[in-house]
Amino acid sequence: MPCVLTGVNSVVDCNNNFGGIVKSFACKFADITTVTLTAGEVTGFTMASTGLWKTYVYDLDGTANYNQPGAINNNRFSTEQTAFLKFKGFTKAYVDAANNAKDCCDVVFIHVLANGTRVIQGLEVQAATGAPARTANRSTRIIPSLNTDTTQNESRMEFSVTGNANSFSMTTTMTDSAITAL
Amino acid sequence: MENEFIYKVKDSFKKEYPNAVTLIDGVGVVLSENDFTEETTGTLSDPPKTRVFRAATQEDLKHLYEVDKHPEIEKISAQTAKKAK
Repeated sequence: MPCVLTGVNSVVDCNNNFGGIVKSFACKFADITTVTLTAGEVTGFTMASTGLWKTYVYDLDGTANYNQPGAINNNRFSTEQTAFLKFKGFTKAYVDAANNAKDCCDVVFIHVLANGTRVIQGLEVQAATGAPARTANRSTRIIPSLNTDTTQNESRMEFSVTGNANSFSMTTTMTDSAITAL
Repeated sequence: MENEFIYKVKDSFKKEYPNAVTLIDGVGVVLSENDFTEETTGTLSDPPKTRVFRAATQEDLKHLYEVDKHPEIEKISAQTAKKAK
């Protein structure tokens, strides 16, 4: 991408801007055949078949987040992208979900931020409609954990979704109903 | 007839992904000639579901080609399409 500086002014009002993520959708990278872009935003996907996006509704206890700290090594920029999702409980369904998720080599998540913005983890920025590009430095995958913890605490399944990219996540205009319509 | 065009899904793509689905105005549409019925078995928390995805129309394919610049859609002359059949 060319060097462009864009002025930003975040002091337009003093309203709260809530952090964190509230819901996510995920599919395998290989399930996406085409990413549709309109004015630099993802407006749609063509999927290999129907029903491939899965919905993840995790605990709304202020722990879910998606962070992309930038890093530079000599003149080489990258960003380690990490999402954290927590699901209370410990059941056979969770064990199956965790065992299946750990074996996915390359996944794509759409995270719905608490402020309404939607971002896509697992894809590099692309300039035009076309085949998707996976996170260049390290594929995005799910690292599940299953913890009973102690009686003073809660048993839970945690997903850490990590990848390493050359660019920050693209945003999408796709609504919940549009994603699940695929 | 000579100047008429039709829009179609590329054969190689159709062969690889016979039930590919995309969004048209927020609705899931399959890139094939026929509607596609998806049957989902029920789980403890979700009942079984049946969803019908309609097949893409010429209007849909035109939108994908002209507006979205979809790489898997092509515009060919009606005459060529007729010869290919």
